[in-house]
Amino acid sequence: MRDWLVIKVNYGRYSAYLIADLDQKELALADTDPSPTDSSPTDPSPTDSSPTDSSPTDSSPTDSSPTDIDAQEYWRRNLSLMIKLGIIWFVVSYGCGILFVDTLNHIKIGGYKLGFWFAQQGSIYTFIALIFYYTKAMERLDREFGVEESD
Amino acid sequence: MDLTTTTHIVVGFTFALYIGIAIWARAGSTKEFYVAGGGIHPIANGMATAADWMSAASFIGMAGLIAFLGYGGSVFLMGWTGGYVILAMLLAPYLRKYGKFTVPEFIGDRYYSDTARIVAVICLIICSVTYVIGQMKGIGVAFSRFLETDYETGLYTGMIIVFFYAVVGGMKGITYTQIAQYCVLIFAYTIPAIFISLQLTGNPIPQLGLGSTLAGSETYLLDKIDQIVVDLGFAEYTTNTRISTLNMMAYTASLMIGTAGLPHVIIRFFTVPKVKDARSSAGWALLFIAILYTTAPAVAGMARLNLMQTLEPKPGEHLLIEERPEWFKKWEATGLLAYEDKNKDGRIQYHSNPEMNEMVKIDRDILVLANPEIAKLPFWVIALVAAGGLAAALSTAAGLLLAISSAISHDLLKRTFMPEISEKAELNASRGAMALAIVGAGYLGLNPPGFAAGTVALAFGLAASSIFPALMMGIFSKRISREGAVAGMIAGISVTLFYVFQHKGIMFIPEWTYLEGLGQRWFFGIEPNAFGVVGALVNFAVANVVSLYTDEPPAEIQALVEDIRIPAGAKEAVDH
Repeated sequence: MRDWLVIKVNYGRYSAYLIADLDQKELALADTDPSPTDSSPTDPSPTDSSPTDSSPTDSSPTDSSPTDIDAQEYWRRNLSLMIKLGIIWFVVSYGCGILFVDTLNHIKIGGYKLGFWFAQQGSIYTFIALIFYYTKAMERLDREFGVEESD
Repeated sequence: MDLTTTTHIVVGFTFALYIGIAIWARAGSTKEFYVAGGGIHPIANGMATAADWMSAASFIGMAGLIAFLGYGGSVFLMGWTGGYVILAMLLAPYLRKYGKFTVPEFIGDRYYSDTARIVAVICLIICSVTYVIGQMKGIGVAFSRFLETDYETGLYTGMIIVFFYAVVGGMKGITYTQIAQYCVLIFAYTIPAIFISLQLTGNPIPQLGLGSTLAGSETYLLDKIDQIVVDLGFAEYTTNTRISTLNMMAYTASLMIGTAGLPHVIIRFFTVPKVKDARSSAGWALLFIAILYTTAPAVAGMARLNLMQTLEPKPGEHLLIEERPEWFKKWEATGLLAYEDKNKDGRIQYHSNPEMNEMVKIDRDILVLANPEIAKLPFWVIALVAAGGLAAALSTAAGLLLAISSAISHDLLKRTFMPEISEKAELNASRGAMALAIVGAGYLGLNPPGFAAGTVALAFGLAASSIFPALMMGIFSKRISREGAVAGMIAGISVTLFYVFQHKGIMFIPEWTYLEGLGQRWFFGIEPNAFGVVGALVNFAVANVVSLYTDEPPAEIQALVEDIRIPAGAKEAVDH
């Protein structure tokens, strides 16, 4: 039995299929007529070999997958979120905990000098918050782009 | 009931628990053996990851290090926690989406190369073996100190316990025992800390206690430590930088990316059902780790203060040798604590000046272990600390052994040399590899090679300079080719080993140093243990340059990279 990876793409009224033959390690693109129905690809392959020995729609994933443009936008949004959180990650540890520690140590919270507190306590609490924020934000992003995993 | 009996009962109970779990959680398939069936709840996996991650070094060693380094010890706190942010954002979700069993498997597939897979296996084995030696030593030492057995008996007992649940249960058995071990170790760590914080500051939460005033006084605890240590000529506790600002940044960065690149931590994220679980599980793991890691600096500061005040109860009035407490004598017997009455006044003077200092030996590792005794806590608390230290060492050893054995049975046998092997045979092979790995680790624990002292720090440097960059570039760049990745890994790990061995001798044999003319820390004043980040940068640079001059990866590899970036369509971890 051959393994197919089929990604169905909806863009406006058009549907396109990205078909990967996992056994032959071949890729094919197919698009459909502007038709609302989920028909099988009628005009496969601008590139090379198209699948012939099984109908891709049989194994077509049910969740709507993004177009190339959406996938790029999704990845771009993910990267921009990572960069923002990465800056906070850098500032609380390398910044507050190391580079600016002497300046911050002039401020005291209870018995803690602030820079020392960031180095031994505050950075760790921030790290936890960053990961849980990232998890939540990515769940929203996954839903927005319709790429979340089905249950 | 005396202390030794209590300790035997508490430790015996925890061991019975681990064996019970092993019998209950047997692995019936390679999937259960490698990734615990792939259905572990993210919170449960977070707890198991925390135990997997926190080793004997975290439990016993870290607070002692911080107690003597003060602010400089912060590199361990930030470095060993900040790595989880990198793991959660840069690696875990995508590797989970890829849905295979091991770390070298991803590297081999992404770089469409058996060479890349084998180089990754070698890097993995070097990192994990150096790390596991430290755990085996920790098991032997904990046994000999608390259960009054000899080191060898302790080590053999530990090996049998690990053998039981790791060989029978694989990742499945290891996961559930690690959850139990986390519970044991976190209680063992926090309960004495709460008692000590209450005694010193009246505040039961150690994280707040460290920032509070001393009980019955207006002086802040940290100010008191600063004042005492400075009076004795030591550097101020709260501002004592480790070598230089640049060195502290490099050290922290090396530990962070080393953490994210350690295979035994990464494979834990293959056990959760979904990509989003891999993200949240990293958060839970860090939360569970942080309970210990934010308590550690409190334990460190309070232990330092307790020690100083024991040695000098009132300013200028040093401890009379005849009046030294029981715990002092007990640790003297182990050789880890020693005094020498140089000026023959019958008192012990502790001072930064080696001429005047009469505390000739204070082993950093004893601080956590002796802390409950210094604070005069009940026997059961001391027994719990013994069980906790053993739990920390056992859980990490098991995780490392699984990473080693799955690299051998899956990446070398199944994926490289014997692709036709049946699942049943592979399962047997993985059990065999696990048994061999345990015996090998035990042998190295009994006959620690000369380099054992430097090993754990080396493991981070190696993971940072070899595995982490290969994984990250594999996800974030479609352009890195197999030639680039292999050249990058080899260059990164070589540069790191070159720098470390140049300082400490080849294989840590002191006579085998070379290029002494360069001096110590000649590279911008960075110490060898902090060099992993430089190795990682070399890896990134070499991989990118080589990739520019070689063919770009084939289309299906680029499609694979696109695919792992999107959560939808994640399968459970599968064989093929």
